[in-house]
Amino acid sequence: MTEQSNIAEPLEMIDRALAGDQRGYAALYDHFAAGIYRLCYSLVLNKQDAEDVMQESFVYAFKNLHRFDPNKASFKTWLYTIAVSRCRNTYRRKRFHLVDLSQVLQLQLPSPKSETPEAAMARRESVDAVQEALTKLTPILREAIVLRYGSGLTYREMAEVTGIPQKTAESRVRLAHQKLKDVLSPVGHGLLEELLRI
Amino acid sequence: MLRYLRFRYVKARMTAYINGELPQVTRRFIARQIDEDERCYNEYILQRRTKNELERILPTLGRSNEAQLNNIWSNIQAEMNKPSEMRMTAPKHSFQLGYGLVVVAMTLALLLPLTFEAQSVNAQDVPTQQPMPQYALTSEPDVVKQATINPTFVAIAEVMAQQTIEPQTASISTPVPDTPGT
Repeated sequence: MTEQSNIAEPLEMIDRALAGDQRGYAALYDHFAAGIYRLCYSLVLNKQDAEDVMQESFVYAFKNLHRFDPNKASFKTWLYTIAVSRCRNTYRRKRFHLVDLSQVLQLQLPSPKSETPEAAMARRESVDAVQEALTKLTPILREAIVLRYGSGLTYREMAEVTGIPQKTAESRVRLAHQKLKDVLSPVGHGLLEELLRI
Repeated sequence: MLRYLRFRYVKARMTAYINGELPQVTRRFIARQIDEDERCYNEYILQRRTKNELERILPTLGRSNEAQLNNIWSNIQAEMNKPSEMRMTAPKHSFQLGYGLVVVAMTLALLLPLTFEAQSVNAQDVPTQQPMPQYALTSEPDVVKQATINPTFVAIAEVMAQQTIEPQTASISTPVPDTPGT
């Protein structure tokens, strides 16, 4: 990725960046880029849009780094808030779902080398099933499930990122979970058994 | 009926139970129902599998590679190095200019018909002008003046003129009668 730096803590990275040290920015990007990209992709479900949203989010965050207050929220929460907000703008602009050609051609997920072709196929099918199920959720429920299970945020962090009460975040995750269970169970039951055996 | 109601109760709280978000008493109740009721057990298995699958698959969704992240990083650096004022102000001015032109055009479109309407002349609206009384020239303009002021004097003057002056010149100071139709 970028030039490796020895900065470990986000606050230290921020201090360096604010002091004009480019390595601070690079370290922040290295630390959060993969997670932000995963979040953006899971929400907009399109590679190009995810890249654009991620770029916009980092540019905005870096330009407004002086506004970040560590006493109010963690940098991760702040950055995730920016990314989620940009994702919302994107799927407001594009109300219809665009199919990514690379997804159709299944170029997205390179399977591990140790995987057998059967296992790879089963894994790809389950990923496709989950992705298809995500498209059937409303954006609000998709956000909830992606932030909880995809990004591993706590309910408190979810509440901060999405700007809702913690209890609402919990109920949204439950509701999304129920809907996904209904969507996934008819097609995914045998597949799940297969996966468990693999 | 009671079993069905219990199942509904357990089903509504199953996700929270699996995620460990319930108080101790409710957790114990649901755990007992899962052990005793087959439908509750099936629901528990299904939801646990869904959760496991989501936790396993969602983090792998949108996995990025190094080249892709490097490319985005170079784009971010390029964006950061751009002067921000120019990018912020240029569209703002163009928008303002555009809106200003639209406002001017709309104002003109609204005002022009009113302007033309105010200046338009309709032949029927013009008041008819009263015809000026025509007087013949006399040798004594003062007498004519008085005649116009008071018709009685005019009549007296006529009588006097008929007695003293020739008939052709005596009737000169009288106004020409209106022609019918004018």
